[in-house]
Amino acid sequence: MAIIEVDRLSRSFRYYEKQGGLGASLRNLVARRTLVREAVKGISFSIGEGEVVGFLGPNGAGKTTTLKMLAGIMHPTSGAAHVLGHVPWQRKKDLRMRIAIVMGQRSQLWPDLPAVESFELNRAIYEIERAEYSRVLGELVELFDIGGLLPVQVRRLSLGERMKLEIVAALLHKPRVLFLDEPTIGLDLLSQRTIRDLVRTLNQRYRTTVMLTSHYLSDIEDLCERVILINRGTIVYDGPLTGVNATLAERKTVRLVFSAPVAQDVLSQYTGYQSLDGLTASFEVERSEVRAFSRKVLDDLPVVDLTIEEIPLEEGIAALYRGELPRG
Amino acid sequence: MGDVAAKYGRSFSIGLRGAIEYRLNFAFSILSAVSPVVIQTALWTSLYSPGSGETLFGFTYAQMIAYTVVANLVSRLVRTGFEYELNTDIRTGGLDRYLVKPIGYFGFRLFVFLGTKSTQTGLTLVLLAIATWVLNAVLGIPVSVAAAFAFAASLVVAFLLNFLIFWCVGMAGFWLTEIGFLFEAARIVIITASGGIFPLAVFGPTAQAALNMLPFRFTIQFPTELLCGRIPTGQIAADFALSFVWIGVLTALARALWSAGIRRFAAVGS
Repeated sequence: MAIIEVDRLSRSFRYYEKQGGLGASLRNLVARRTLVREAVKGISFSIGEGEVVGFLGPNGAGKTTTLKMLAGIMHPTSGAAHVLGHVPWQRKKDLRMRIAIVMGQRSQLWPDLPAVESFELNRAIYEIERAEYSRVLGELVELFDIGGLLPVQVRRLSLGERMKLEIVAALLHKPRVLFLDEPTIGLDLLSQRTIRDLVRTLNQRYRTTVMLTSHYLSDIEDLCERVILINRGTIVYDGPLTGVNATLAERKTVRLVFSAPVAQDVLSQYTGYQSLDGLTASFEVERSEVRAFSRKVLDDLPVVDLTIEEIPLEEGIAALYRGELPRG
Repeated sequence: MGDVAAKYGRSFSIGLRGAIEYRLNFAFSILSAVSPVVIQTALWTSLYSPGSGETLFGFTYAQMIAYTVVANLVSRLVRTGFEYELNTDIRTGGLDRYLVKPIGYFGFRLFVFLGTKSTQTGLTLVLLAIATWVLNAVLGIPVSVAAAFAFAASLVVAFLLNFLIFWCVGMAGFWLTEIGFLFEAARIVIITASGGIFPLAVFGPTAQAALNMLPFRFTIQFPTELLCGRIPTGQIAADFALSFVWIGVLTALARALWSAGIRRFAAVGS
């Protein structure tokens, strides 16, 4: 059953052209040129119950705009969407009671008060019975290991600690759908991993449907079986994470370390030459060619080390952004 | 109904707790209330000839000092401050986090603000009680029980009106980016037009007649004059009626601005 359904959703923004200089500023006072930017261009997808979907794209691709439309904060220019059967931007209470959005760069906690005060406010806002609230909070406190943080003023907490509490605040009413916009932004590696573990546990325990945007691919690799890649407002891939590199899997990265400098001119004569960094050069080589290629470079060049690697996920995603690979 | 009361009760409580975190700020805000009273009292003392019993703008010296003190306390009571938070929420997109929740933003801000203000309000009410006693016992201006009740009712009206006025001013943030100056300018004009600095009689009969019809008078001068017994009994009901009309008009305006503003907010994004 589809929990989120998106049909040809589009969103464009109007803005004004502004050039530098006093003259231009004065001209702008009288007449401004209006420009239109299409942030999201007719995207369609659907997400089933309990799915954790990674929503990826470079900066300005339209990720946050899409999440905001699905959370009901923003109206689309055209197209349709349903979340739990509701049109999100009509902001019906029934829907607001069952979704939550966590934005990594925006806090819903009161900075001057301990988080437990904000939790209590959410308890009242979401009309949670006292006993149920205590049970869920107890469970989340144990799961997130945050017992010691509850009585501390939020602004005295570290970013990682605060983010855990942000997520707890968003989960008290047990939302069926959780939108996470960059939940690990600015966090150290350990905190990133903790947040990921939590999202996974949450999804497994409550079957919460999660839509997650992140710039950190480890978030996506750890959590999402399915990814939707968006670039310049258009979906460039929607499918299993494993499919992203499927086309690239026919190629390998061969990395060579030399004992003495080798000129770039020499290296560029070899097929698949990618880059040279000091004494290290890398090549992208067809899987079937790797053996012959290795033999040749070992014979020709002062190689002291040779490694053969899978092409990283980043490369696959970048290739999809550039439109170099077939869409999923 | 119980759920709604719990939501706004909790909003009130979070405002109150937030305010208690900043006790020093609270103490200074009380201290800062003293200086305008001192300045205005000094001004009126120099304008009135000592012991002559003359009246200026229809006020004896004792009445003028009573007006000054009570008007200052009333203006403290109704003074807003939430408009900066409203503006920040609009400008930074912080409004998002309330729009996704099942709570009305207006009610939420109103009750958080009431909570934030409640300690200061309590203290100001104590000062008002003392002022009422001084009016009676020292200045010889009698305050009847009926006048005290009418005053209490007018304070609720005054607070609501002032909240609505600044709510409407604050919503300018939907259309203008930088509006800190607008708040200060609006505050000075509104406090003057409310009789918060001088009684409106100072501006002459024509201006006063015009200002009497506007909502601002009901935020400071009307409660103050009720307590000081300066409004003829026959006119009190008509004045209350007019203030209710203004509450209706401003509520309608606030709703219209909000729905246009939120459409724009959702359209422009943040």
